[in-house]
Amino acid sequence: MFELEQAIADWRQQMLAAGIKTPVPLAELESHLREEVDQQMQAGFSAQAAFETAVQRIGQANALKDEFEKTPATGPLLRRRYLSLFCFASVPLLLLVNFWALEPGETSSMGRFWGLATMSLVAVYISGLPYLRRRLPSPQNRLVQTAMLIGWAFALVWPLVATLISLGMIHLNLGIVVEMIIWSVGAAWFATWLAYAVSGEADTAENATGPEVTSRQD
Amino acid sequence: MYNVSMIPKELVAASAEPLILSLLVRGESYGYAIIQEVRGRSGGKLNWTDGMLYPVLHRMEHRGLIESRWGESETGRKRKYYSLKKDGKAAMAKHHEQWSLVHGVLAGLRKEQNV
Repeated sequence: MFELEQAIADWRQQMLAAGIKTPVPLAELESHLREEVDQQMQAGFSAQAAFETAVQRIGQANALKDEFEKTPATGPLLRRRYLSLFCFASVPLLLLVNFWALEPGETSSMGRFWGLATMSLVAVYISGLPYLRRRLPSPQNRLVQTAMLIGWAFALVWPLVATLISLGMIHLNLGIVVEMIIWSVGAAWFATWLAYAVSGEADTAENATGPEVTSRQD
Repeated sequence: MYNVSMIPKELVAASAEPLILSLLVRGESYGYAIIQEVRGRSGGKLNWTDGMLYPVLHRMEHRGLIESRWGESETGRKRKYYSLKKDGKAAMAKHHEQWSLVHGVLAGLRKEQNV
């Protein structure tokens, strides 16, 4: 005698054994299976025939597992949150450090003006970046590629130079204003790179291969 | 005559996302209903392997195109409902534009052949 509930429990075990995770997506697949069984039974099929058709339509456990594994662990939504987090955290830090470094009396009024003007522009740019991400020029643009390359070269060299200056191993007196401008522009470059990285991964996900679906050939 | 039922697997796969987005623009729905709707509207020619719809829905959710919630059917059974997000609407518009372009080119070429 065919027991529908037992058959569904056995099917669940097969899915679990193949690596389909619970509660999601297994609960979702089971919900679908039950809908199909109900539909088939309403159409006049026996419980066993309805179950067998539903199982066949839902597909093989291993194939399903392979498809579910194509879903990345962290989606673009989460990565966009990382970008927002970086942008919103770096702006107050940037303002704090610059105001402290460009204290009146330590720098000329003209130097302070240029330092604060640059910092303000950078702060506005970084704050708006999570919203303006889609309006950035194409990463294939040669100017963007050159800017990113220069930025990377500078990002690799500048911390080393700054360390050597602070240790007194090299004498390069750029002045606090120029140094602060360099740090601010560096932060803007890094935020821009992060925005491109987030968008790039989203595009990759968009271009991912389609589902393994089959067309019925009557 | 061209046999419509011979839809290549790649075309069926490529059309999955625009179809799902276009169905969800009318309001939230769930996997089984989406499959039934596509099957019905295509006269059974677009016949997805049912279980394979869910990885697609999950990927679309990860990309921020759709969102989901667990609810209950009229009979009290658990169901996962999907609805469109703002990015999903934008993606749907993009798909429509691209598919319309392809359709326009094909229709134009066919018209020329029939002249």
